[in-house]
Parts: sequence; C-alpha cells; structure tokens
Amino acid sequence: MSDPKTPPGPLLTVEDLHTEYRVESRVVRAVTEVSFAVARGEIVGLVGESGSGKSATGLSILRLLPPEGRIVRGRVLLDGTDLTKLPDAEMRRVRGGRVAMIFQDPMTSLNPYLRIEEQLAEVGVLHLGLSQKDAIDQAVALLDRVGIPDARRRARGYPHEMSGGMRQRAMIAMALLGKPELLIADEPTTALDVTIQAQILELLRELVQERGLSVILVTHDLGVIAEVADRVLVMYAGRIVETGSARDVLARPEHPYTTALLRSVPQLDQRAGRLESIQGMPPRLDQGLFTECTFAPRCRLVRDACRTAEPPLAPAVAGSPRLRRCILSPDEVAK
Amino acid sequence: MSESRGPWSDAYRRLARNRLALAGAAVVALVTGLCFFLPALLGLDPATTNPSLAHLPPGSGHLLGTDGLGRDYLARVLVGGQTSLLIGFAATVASVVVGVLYGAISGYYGGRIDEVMMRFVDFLYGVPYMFLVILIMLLFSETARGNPLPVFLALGLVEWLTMARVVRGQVLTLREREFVLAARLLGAGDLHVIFRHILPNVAGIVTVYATLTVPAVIILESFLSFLGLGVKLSWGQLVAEAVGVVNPIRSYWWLLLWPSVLLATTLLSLNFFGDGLRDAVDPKARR
Amino acid sequence: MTDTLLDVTELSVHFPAVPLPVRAVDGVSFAIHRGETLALVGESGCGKSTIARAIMGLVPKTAGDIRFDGTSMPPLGEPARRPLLSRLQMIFQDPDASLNPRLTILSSVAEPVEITEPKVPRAEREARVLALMSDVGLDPTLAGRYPHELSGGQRQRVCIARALAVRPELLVCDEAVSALDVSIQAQILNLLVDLRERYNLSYLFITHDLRVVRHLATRVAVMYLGQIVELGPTDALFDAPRHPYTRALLAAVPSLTKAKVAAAARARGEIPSPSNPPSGCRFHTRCPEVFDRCPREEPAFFVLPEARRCRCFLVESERTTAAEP
Repeated sequence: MSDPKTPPGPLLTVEDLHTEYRVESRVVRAVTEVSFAVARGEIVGLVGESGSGKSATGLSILRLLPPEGRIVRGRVLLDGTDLTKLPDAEMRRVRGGRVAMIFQDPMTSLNPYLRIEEQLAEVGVLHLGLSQKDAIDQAVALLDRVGIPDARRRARGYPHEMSGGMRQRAMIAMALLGKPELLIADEPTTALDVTIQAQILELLRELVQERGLSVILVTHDLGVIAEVADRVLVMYAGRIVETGSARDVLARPEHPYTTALLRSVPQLDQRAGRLESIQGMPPRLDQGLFTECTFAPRCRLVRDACRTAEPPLAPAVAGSPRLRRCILSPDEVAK
Repeated sequence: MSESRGPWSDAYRRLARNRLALAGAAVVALVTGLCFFLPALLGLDPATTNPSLAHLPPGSGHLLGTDGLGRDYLARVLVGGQTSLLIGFAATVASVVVGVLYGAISGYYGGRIDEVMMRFVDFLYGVPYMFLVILIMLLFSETARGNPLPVFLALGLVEWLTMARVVRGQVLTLREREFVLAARLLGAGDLHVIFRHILPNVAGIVTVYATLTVPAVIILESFLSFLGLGVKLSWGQLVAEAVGVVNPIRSYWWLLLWPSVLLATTLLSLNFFGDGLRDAVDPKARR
Repeated sequence: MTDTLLDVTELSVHFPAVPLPVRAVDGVSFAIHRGETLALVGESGCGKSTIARAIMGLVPKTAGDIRFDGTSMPPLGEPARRPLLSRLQMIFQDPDASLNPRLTILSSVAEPVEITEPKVPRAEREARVLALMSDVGLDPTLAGRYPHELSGGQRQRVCIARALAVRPELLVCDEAVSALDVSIQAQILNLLVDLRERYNLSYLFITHDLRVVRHLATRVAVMYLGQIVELGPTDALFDAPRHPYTRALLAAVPSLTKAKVAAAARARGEIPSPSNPPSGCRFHTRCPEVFDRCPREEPAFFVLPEARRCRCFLVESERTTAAEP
C-alpha cells in the first residue's frame, strides 16, 4: 500500500459525527461522536447489533438518510472535501462516482421494470459521460468480472430472472461502474445463502486487491469481519466502543461488550456448552444525553465509576492504535 | 414503561395529535347534536304549511327563512339533517355487518368458495348502480317511495361490496400469519380463529372504511333525492327543491344555501376524520 | 411409549406449478428419538421448512409416511389428529407475526390451554401461564402487556411459553433464532437447552446457520434441493464431513477461528431451482469433486459406520449393512 503514486493520508475521515432521527415528537440519537478513518485499499468493518448505529453511519457518509434523519454535527472528509457541506448537485456526483453503496436487499436496489444493462449503463452515462453503447459495453464487462455467467445475454434480462446471489453481484457491478474509491457495503451478504455469501465475500476481497478499493463493511456478523476486514469498529448505542485491527480485536478484545459478543456467538469448532449471553436490552437512544457508560446496565464488570460519566474513546496505553470506551484496563476486561 | 398500552392506544394518541381530524369529528358531533336535539328543544315544526309566510328570507321569526309553502326552513334543514345522517350511519352499519361477514368467510375459506363469492361481488359491481336503485324503487309502491326503507336498501346494497373486498384482502393476509397457524395447530376451530384472531385484526381497517362510507352514503342519498328518488325530507331533497325554484328574478338563495352548507361541511368533516383515522391506524406509521 | 418419537419415511412434498411441479421435498427419511435434537440444515430451496410444515400438517404430503410415537399422523383438521395436537408444537421464525397483536401475553399463552383443556378454570389457567412465563425467563408482570411492547427476544420467549403450555414432547423450531440479534440468540439457545433438560423435550431444529447447530443438536441432517445428503451425530459430522456439500457449507461459514476446511472445498455457482433439479446427483453442478458418474446416476443414501449416512458415490465403498440409524 505504499505506492508512490497514491496520495498519502486516509481516503475518508469521519470526524465527530452525530446523526439524529426525528420520529413523531422524539429525537433519536442514532449516531454519537463517531470518528474514524479509512485508508486506501483497506476494508473497515462496522460491526454491531440492531440499533447500534452502524447502518446510520454508512447512510450519513453518503447523506442518504431518510427525511426524518439529519447530521447534526461533524464532518465527513473525502480526501479533504467535507461531504456534509457539499451542495446537492455535487453530492450527487460523489454518490455512485467516488463513493458507491450496496445494500442488503438487492431486489429493492434494482428496478424491476428496467433491463439490467439499462440500469447499469445509467451509471456510465451519468458519472463517466459515456455514450449509451459504451456504457453498456463497460457494464457487461463488469458483470462478467463479478462472476455472472453469459454476461451479455444476462444483461438484457430483468432482475427477477436472477437469483439473490446474482443480483447482489449485479449490484456490485453497478457500484463499480463509476470507478469508486470507496464502497460502503451495508449487510451485503446477510440475506444470502451461506455458500453464496462466501463467494460474494471472496469477490469483494479480490476487487479490493485489484483496484485498491476501500470498503466500509457494515455487518452484525463477527465471522464476516474475521474473514475479510482489516480493521474493525465495534458499535453500541450509536457509539464506537472499540476499534483496532480485526485480528487483534477479535483475539484480544478490550471492551466488555466486544467480549460478551464474542462469547455469545456459537462457533463451528466449539462443542455444546452454555453460551454467554448479555442480560437486558440495548438502551433507548431518545432519552437525551447519557450520564453513564451506555453499556453499564448490562456490563458484568460494571463499577460505580462507570455510572458517573460516559467514558471517552481512548487508547489503553498512549500511542496504541486500539481505542476503547471503557475505564477498565484491558487485563481486567479479559477476565 | 408505566402501564400497558393496548394496540389501540397508540392509534388513539396519534389521532389525538391530528388537529384536522379532531376538528372534523367535533364538527360532525356538533351538527349531529344540533339536528337531533335542537328541533325538540326549540319546538320547531318542519311540516306546518303557511302560505302567507311563503318565501321569506332569513330574518327574525324564521332564522333561516321559509320555503315555498311557508314552512320554517331552520326546522326543515335540521330535521332533514336527521334523515340524512340516520341513513348515512344506518346504511353504513348494514354494509359493515354484511361486508365483514361476507369478506371474512370468502377470504378465510379461500379456494372455490372464495372464487364464487368474489365473482358474485364482481358481478354486482358491474351492474350500473342507478339501474339497481331504480329497480328497487320500482319494487315499492308509489306511496312507500318517500320512505327511508327502499333508499336504505338500495344504498346498503352497494356499499357492502367495497367493505367485503377490503376485508377479504386483509383476511387473506392474516390467514397465513404465524399466530393463526399456531392456533390451528392447537386444534382451534374455524369459528374460534375467525372471531378471536382474524376479526379483531381487521377491526382497524374496517373502522376506517366505515367512517369513510358514511359520507359516501350521504352523498348517494342526496343524489337520489336530487333525482326525485329519495326520501321526503333530507338535505339532498331540500337542495333538489331549492334548485327547482331558482329563477333570475327572485333567487331564493337561502333555500339552496343552508342545506348545501350543512351537507358540504358534514361531508368534509367526516372525510377529514376518516383520513385521520386511517393515518392513525395505518401500521406503516406505527413506531 | 417407544423410543422413536418421530419417524419420517420417504416423505415427498411436491407443489403443483407450471410448467413443472416444485419438488420441495423428495424422498426424505429420518427419525427422531426421545430426548434428542435433530438439526435440519440447508440453504434456500432445500426443503427444510417444508418438511417442518408437512410434519405439523400445515402442508399436505405428496407421498411417504410420517409416524409419531408409532402411529401414522392423520391430516390436520381430522378428528383423529386431535390427541396428537398437544404432543408436538412449533416455534416460528418471525416473533412479530407469531403473536396476535390484539391479545395480551396472558391471553396468547393461555389460549392453548383454553382450546385443548377447556374445563380448566380461569384462575388455574392464569397460574399456569405465569409459571410458564417464569420458566422461559419472562417477568410475570409482563402478562398484561401487548406484543408490540416487548422486544424480539421477549416475544420469542412468549412463543416458546405458548408452545409449552400443552406440554408437548416434540418441539419443531423453524429458524426460531434466525431473526434475533446475536446476543439475544444466545439467550434463546441457552433457554432451549435448559428447557430440553427440564421437560425431557425433543427438538427438530431447522436452521441455515451451522454455528447454531453445533451448539444445540445431537444429530444433524444436511439437506440440498429436497433431499438429505448427509446425516450423522453432530460432532462426527462437523469434525469429519463426508459429503462434498457438507464440506462446502462448512467452508463457507464465516468463522472467527481459522479451523476451517480448505477453500478448495467451496461450492461453485448458483443453487438450482427445486422445480428443475439437476440430473443424477443433484449437487453435481456445483461439486468440486464431481466425476463422470455423478450426472448420470442418483446416488443412494448409503449407510455408513457409526450411525452415519451419506448420499454420495465417493463413500459407496464404505457402506455397511448395519441397521439404519
């Protein structure tokens, strides 16, 4: 990754992102104080359960929030340009161009009434200024690259003629057409069968290698993180609670939530036994500011000090690349 | 969570916040109250004719004026309102009862029964409404025609069709829901399933449609009256009479104005309320 | 009371369709013994959910025999089925759709008792409900609440309580934890394990998630396109899978630990449609170890040593004449 031609520094920097949803009369703080960076050619995993804010973070980066959602604070810097401040027309050029996104359900991302090649060609025409014919040719080439057999013929077909796995590949092709530098993938394999999931993850890995593509992978599955992610951000209650390299975080977690999560996932090579489960439920995010650690009510290691204020996201040892939102030391967490 | 909130209380809260819907409900309540209680309270008489007082504009003595036969118009408008509203609500109730039962049975049993039952509905839908109504009216003798009964029948006959279709659609979906399957797996009989599980879950949508059926019926009745096929005294009837005497020299404007205003206001208010109900009950809006 | 609780023999379920019928289940045989948990795993179109529904009587069978405790199971709705109804119950995948939104938790859990034991007085019924709620780890004060006020995990517990209200012997869990968050999944899995011991239950556990299987099941049946392709005790099957599809499944599961089967074992291509399964061995179009016999002949479900079975020519030479597991 130290290619002299690529500019130094991270591709994407998210700084102190806060996103809220206004639902009826309540304000739900979906994302709070989220900061991270994505380097070129890196796969960053955002992992968490439902309500953790991982999807909202991805949507915030591309400003694809629903009408009731908005970014209330923070910056999203793409190579220095703050995406949150861009005028709509320029943001549209970024979406599908420098930054692309794929979603969990490919059926709703593909227009059932248009042929595959038409939808894909749209990207080429809008973002690369190609002629329709050239755009279709590039689309077919990409469909072939993502592993769709008989691509030219398939492209003339419709989404409902494809299986879930193929549709997801078509979506990936559509995302790649604009030659993005960053791909945000929101649960891209959750709705797919296991053997197809493995194929898609392998495809993503290959594409990252080939094109120096950066990926933000949003998922709830720690196994997926283990398979493909370079770095991981563990999210809980809208906050990042732990970050570090995927291998390190999974092998030596430094936050009680991460530990609990790891222990609650049944493993393939593990015999039957009690799974550790986390008592209680995630906290509500519409009750205003927190005066304690968000995980305190459910943490098995909770101390009085945890209830006085929210811990900051900080390294255990100064200079460590691993950040965590916990006042306990990593050794105490590991017990 | 302090106390339990039933599935209706969420809808209730949402409705309570919808000012337009509440205003609509208030207006309807007000109009209904006026129509049913004011004539008795004030001792109004819609029937006594008095040719010497014919066609008086609104003024003291006759708040809304008099009609061609000298009858007090305020009395006529209010009592006419009684009929319009009564027919509206009664026909709606009838259409709900028939429509819900028909739709529930058709949707729940499915298969051939559903096909036959729905083909019948389609057939009735295809028959021109006016044709049906005239047919029914002709079945009654000349004197009976001014009575509410034949009109009520004609209207009820048309409105239940939509209700049946709506309910059938809901029932088809509900029938496959896991909680229904769970009940069937315990050996619950069809009646138990329909009354315990299916019907309570269509109650919401039925209420909404029923609220929107009332104005539809009132309009239909007014239309019939306008054509001379309606009841003796209703808002529609009054409008029809008023239009009949309009002339360029003396516009008896009050004859047309009062029933039209009341009719329009009531219909609008019912529609606002019905819309508000639908928004409140719609599962998409739920949490 | 025999030791074999459920005995499925050559079960087939075909759905009429144009142009070809959907052969959702094609000649499936297995048995569940008292106290054991059999997991049915597979991907889309394998027929596992259809088998569950056929056993419960929600879907008619096209061929084959289903026996519960030795007696053949009459279709749902027939009076002859009545005595069997409370002996097997089902838990569904979607906790939202599994509870009537208009009924309180109390009513929902009490309903089975109302239907099957109508003579039980109200007070006793309520007492039973509260006891069941405690059993499944629910705070009894939630009895007056409505489903939408509970979390997904709590709702699933209610469904389990409801199923247990009739004291079944067999519980069919159709993707019962798939819709839940990971940490909640763990809670429910632990609960199922506890209940199994406490009530001497047997489970037919249907899932697509192999990780959950290892944790809960005593035996595993791997399904592909309407057939069982491998069957055996959990540990043996996971430690030494014999069928290429089983190996492909295991290789594909995203795993935290690196104890994975080699990537070369991965399955290629797409899953075919159940209306038009491939000729011969149905897995041959995707099998990394396919050879010339595979598209031509359909392999039998060979019986192997140690109570294992496998539908693949690669193991044909090892088959035993021992009794079927």
